[in-house]
Amino acid sequence: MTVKNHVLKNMYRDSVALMRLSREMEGLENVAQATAIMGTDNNKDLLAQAGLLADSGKSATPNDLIVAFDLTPPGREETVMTSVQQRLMSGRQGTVGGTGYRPRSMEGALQTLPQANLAMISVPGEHAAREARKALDLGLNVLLFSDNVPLEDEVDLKQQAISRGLLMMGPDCGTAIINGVPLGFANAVPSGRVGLVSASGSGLQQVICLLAEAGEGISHALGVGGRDLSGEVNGAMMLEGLRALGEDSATEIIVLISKPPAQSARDRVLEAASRCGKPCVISFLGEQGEHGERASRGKVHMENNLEGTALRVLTLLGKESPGWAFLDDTSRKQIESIIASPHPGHRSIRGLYSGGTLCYESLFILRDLGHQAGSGLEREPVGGDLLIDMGDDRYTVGRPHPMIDFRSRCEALIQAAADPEVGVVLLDVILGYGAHPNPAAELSPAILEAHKIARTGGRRLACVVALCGSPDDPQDMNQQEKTLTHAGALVVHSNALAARMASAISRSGAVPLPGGDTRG
Amino acid sequence: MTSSTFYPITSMGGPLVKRIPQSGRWGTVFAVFRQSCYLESGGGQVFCLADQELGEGPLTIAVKIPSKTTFRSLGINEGCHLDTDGADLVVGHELVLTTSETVTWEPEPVVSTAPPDEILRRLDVLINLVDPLIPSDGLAEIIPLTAGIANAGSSGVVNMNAVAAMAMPRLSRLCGGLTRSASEAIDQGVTGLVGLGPGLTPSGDDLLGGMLVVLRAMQNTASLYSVDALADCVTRHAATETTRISAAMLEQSARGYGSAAQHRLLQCLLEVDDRPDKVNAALDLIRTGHTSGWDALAGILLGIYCGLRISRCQASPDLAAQSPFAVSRGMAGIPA
Repeated sequence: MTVKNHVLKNMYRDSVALMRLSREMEGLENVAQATAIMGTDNNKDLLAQAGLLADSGKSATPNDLIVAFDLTPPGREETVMTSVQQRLMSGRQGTVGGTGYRPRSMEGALQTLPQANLAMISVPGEHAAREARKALDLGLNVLLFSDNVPLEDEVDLKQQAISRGLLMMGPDCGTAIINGVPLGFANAVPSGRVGLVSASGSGLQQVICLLAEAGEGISHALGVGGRDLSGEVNGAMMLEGLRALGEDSATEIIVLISKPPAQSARDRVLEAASRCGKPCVISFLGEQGEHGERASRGKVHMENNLEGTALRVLTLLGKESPGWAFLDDTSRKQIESIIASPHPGHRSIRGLYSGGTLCYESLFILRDLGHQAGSGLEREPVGGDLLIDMGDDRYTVGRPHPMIDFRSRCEALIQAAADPEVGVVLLDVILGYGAHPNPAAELSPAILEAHKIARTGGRRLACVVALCGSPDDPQDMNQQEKTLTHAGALVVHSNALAARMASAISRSGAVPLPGGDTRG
Repeated sequence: MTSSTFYPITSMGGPLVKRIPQSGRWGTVFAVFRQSCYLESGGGQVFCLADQELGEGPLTIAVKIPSKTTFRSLGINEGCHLDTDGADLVVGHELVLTTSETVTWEPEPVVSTAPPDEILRRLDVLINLVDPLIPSDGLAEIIPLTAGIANAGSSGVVNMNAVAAMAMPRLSRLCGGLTRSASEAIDQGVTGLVGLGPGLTPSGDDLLGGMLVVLRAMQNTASLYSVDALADCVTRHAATETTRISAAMLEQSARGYGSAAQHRLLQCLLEVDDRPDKVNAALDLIRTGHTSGWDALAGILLGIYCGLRISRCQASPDLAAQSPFAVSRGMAGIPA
């Protein structure tokens, strides 16, 4: 007897669905006993009495669903859970009157669409590698959205893909644009001559949006997952993406983006870039010291922030500096007015981010400017400059990602406004496919409320927003900016510029306002 | 640009009407089912948006939508917001729910109570009718035993499912506590029932909800202390020991607000006029969910037996240890 419990957090299915699920599980091969039941204490006692409570089930709360089953003989747990997931998800795509054929397997999907050459996979991490292997075996490129995939599986999957001449994007790859088709969180940017490979989703979005606003489009944007440049994976897919873009006739300039890589991966990527024959702009975000210096060697150009990366690309393409690189007069006057405020109070910076890389970029820019800035992952928000990636797992338990659901950030914004130490709030707003349909409508009431709270306390609060989007995004970027500005936010399109603005306000003008060439 | 779709709200529960904000955000969807969805307001109030076919309730906004339309096909998903402009409600960005035809739903009060013997006769008739239909899940299996449990003398668990078997001694303790106005026993019974059993609203919760609604309807000076103690105990435990949907339902039950189906059945069972439609009322109730309706029916029956017993014991305290329901089918084979 092998008892397994899976706890599905905040999972609500109606009673009939739960009853059917229990019965269908009991009909599966090797399943001796099974049930799906809400995780109340009394139900855990019930499971214990039936011999169906495993250690993992003990942590369930009343709003969690416990899927409990007894495998005899042991094994095939994955099969049961895949079946459970399919049953729980069935019926979620409702239609009015009847449904068309929906393939339930990759083979079925390929029969429906034989010309497909890419599989996008989003299943729980423990099942993701198996699905990805299946796709590679079928000759499909893979975009693996799932996270929590073991590192050894990632290494193996990428080696398998390379041996077959396929791309294995991910795991934890949320953004890509291939032949103009957006996948995951992506922006409506024009087609063009810049090809990108990135180990950072929001970093990729920032660069392509800044390029789009300057009139430059992209050929392809490939995501590779945040661990690709670790020592273990050693840049396997970034190198493969670089090779593919090098051979792509539509691509004239290649951009590579990652947080600081492992030394071995760094060496391999630089070596490959210098041999690819096309200009390469490499952005290893936040690299400091010798590695952090902007430098050019042959056709390889090094940058350490996203804004600088976009500017370098535009320079190589012979474009003039775009508008987003400068502060306009209105923003400058607003900042000067805040700095000159008779009751400035304290001016610590509080960053509330939905994009992990944007948070990271702001953090190292502020540190470069001399701030002792901390991240929410390092310490609790108890004062001083603090930048929080609210998309981190720690803040999203039981909640949608903050790019989709703004509740947690609005609450944190109000809290920050009530904190007499805080004088500047930094926010990112990411537009595009997959993001919230109207983020400004969500944030604006909270920004207004935050200003009110600060005023009541005799302070002035600056809300600086980095609006990351393309003019063609479905949310209407122009309208988003107007709404946010109307609520009293200072809105810029470059995340790096936003961080420097926050620094200037925080220091009460002790540092010059950003402007002109804003490269860090 | 997107176009909006308009559907009328036919009714809204009275407790909800009082809580509609003047304008702006009212709630966010956290659970979506085929014909309904649940939302939570900023203040933590849970309420329901449902196809009018599912019936009215204190926390229900009933909407008239085309037949066979699922809520997801209307674009309603977890994370969608419900906003109001002071008149209509808007879900997400395209679904407008109009209020020009909306009526406020309040349960009809039970008008004068039938004599106890007549009520017992109706219960016997009803239990005989539903007996062949009783499912083996949840707490429905206790229905034929409700009179005995109310007498605090039944702990027979032969051939019962695990949930009902676990619940039996707890129900006996609860009913004994209600009869004796013993708050400790009430608390022990409730603790063992809240959050117990299958379903989104666990069986124990549905049963306690049915009991509360009926005991509030039958409430008199004799039972007031016990009913208040039960209501307080249930809401206190439900807040942390069951699902948030159940907790919201039980909070209303504690105030005497059940679903429209529950109140219709109560009228049929308790009012002086013997209504011919009590069977239909019972069938309407037991069609709710998989076992929820059955569990609520078990709670209603148990509540009525308890309510009658409390009144009789108050009038004649030495009856507290005896069975007052010798004629009840529910007592068959159960030692008093």
